[in-house]
Amino acid sequence: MSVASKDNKIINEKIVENATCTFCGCCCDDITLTVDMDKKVITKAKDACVLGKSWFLNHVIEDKPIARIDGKEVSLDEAIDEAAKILMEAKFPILYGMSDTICEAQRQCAPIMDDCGGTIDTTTSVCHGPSGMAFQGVGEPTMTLGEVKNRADFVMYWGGNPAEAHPRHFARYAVTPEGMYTPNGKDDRTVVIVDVRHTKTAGVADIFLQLKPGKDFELLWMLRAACKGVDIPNDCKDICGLDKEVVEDLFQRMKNCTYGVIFFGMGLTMSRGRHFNSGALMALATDLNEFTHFVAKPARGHGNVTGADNVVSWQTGYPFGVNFSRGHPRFNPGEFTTVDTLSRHEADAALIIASDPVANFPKPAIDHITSDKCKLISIDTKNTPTSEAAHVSIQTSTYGINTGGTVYRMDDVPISLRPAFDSPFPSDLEVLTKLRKKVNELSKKANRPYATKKYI
Amino acid sequence: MKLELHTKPEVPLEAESITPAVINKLKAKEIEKLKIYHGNREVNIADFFSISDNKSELLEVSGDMHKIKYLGANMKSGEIQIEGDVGAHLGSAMSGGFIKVNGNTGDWIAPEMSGGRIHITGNSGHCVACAYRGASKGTSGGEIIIEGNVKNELGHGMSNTTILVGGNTGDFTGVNMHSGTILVLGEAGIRTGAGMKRGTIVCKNNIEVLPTFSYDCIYNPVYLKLFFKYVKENTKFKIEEKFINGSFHRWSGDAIEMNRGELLIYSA
Repeated sequence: MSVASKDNKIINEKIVENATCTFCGCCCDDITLTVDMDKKVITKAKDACVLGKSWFLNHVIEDKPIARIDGKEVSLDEAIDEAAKILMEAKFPILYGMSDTICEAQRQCAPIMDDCGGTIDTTTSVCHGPSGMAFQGVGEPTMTLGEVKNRADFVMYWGGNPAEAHPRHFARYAVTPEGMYTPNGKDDRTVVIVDVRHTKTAGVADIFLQLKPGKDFELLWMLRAACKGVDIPNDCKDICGLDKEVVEDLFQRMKNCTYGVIFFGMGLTMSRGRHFNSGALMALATDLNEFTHFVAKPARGHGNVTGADNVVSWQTGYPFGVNFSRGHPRFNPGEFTTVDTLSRHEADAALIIASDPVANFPKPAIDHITSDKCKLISIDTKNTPTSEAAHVSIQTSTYGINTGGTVYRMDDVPISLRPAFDSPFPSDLEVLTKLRKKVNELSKKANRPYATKKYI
Repeated sequence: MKLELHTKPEVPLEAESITPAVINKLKAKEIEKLKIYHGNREVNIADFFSISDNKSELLEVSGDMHKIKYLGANMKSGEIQIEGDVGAHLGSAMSGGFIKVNGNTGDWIAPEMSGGRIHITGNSGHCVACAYRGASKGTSGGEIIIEGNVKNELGHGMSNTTILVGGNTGDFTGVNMHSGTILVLGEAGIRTGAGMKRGTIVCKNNIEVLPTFSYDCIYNPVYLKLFFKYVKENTKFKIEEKFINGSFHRWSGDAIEMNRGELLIYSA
């Protein structure tokens, strides 16, 4: 549609209703975008939070080549041929990232690594990987965010700061919305924040519990013991920094609510104890089902990191850190996760999709991934330190803004994307489909035994 | 038979065929053609090891093998002596025999071990005698002696295994253990015995006990004297008389589980 601007210039404008923001795991799908189709920019993002606005409004089509090898512009096919050759020649290739792309593109990744006998890992391994391990160990008392909105009268955030990391989580799902059984919104809910420091999130809390750093497991363990009838110890304050009466009151509230939920963040999963912390929290939620209905859910970060876990799980049986070097999937975080394999100087090729390990990983891992011993391939929507250091670099279009597809919200609910405008760059799906085909051809030529395996 | 590493692997090498049962029934020329896995490539043992027949039943393996995994996996009998550092999954699922390592080891030593003995003179990594991810049970027998330090999750989910550590252990020592005994002569990390159902963890030094353990008493358990006698006879650990005859604080736990495990902490 054409509209007149303030200076009476005619703008070719497009409105996209119910667009999905893929910045964080909330995947809010009620955003109204206004797009200047001439300039190819989004000018308004109604209902988006501060992070969503930044995601949409700062998106520009960069003037750079689609594909480069050692910094020189090449055709996409040449780049894909080179990437496939590197992966097939490697003895221990890894594929990492995938959390900022659509599920359809993620589906191409496990077959690529299966054909070249490598390891597939997602950004989960550096955020909620411990939760993924805990799911296996203790199970997951789960729900959807719709259930939380309509039913939860006890909402707890543990080791996270959603006010800044998931700004609309409170308003859309968990704290203020009026639900079927919570018609008065926040007045019908008790909101508890457990953290080691006072963050912006603490401002919405009815009860803020400031825990001693590194004592999450001890508090969770005491609450679990309370579920079994064990008294909260008298030296509770020395153990975790909270008074015995406060913990007893917390336990009573948890036990006596109608529908309780705990959202937990990386303050829990990435502090000392890691998967045991996540496991203790989920086991506590399970234990509380002796008294009431209680669930727990990790508050996921990247837009489609939950999709990456789901896709890799349905294809290989495991969510991340899956190795195919012996022809069948093997899962062992620590052994096959990317930071570890790079830090031990094991990987000899790395395919990085929609991620930037060179900017974020520990130094030993960065040193290896940027060394001659590890051939680096990057597929990303932006120029990053990883794409700049890569031997083969392919620029793709941005999911949710330029390309459609499916993403999973943090509660494992699939959501369709509504792109705003086209991009001159190919999609991740197109690039990865071509790469998969090429790797498969080379794999069959090399008589790799699993090259003919069918994938859904 | 003697295997000596002549080429360091660039990527992890998986060598579960290096066990006495496989090696000792073959001639040197046949051993050279045994398959091992260099990353995703199937290669011959001879590509990495030189093999010499010293007419001994003892399998000697030497070199810097920190990237070599699964040595002695599924071992049922015989003896391996390793000179140098070795990688992960040493003695995986072994049910008998003896592995001696004069060096350090990587992570995941003896997962799913059901029998046999492993003696490591150096340090070990994480997850020694640990249940694989998603499994509730780890080792179900055997004995592991580590003269140095061990990292986290020693004996996770173990049953009926005896683990003797001369140095320090990391966090979650004996977590979720079902039965068996762990002796720690150095410092133990935090959350020792979390989720344990039965079994005994003996600590020479004081530890931070979880709030879900309850204090029972201070006493001199008779069976510990026999246990320490066994340790003295079978290891080079320095066990002082005052420790053997000393008193121990007994804690029961974990209350979240059956509360039948015990922590015995030496009262200096």
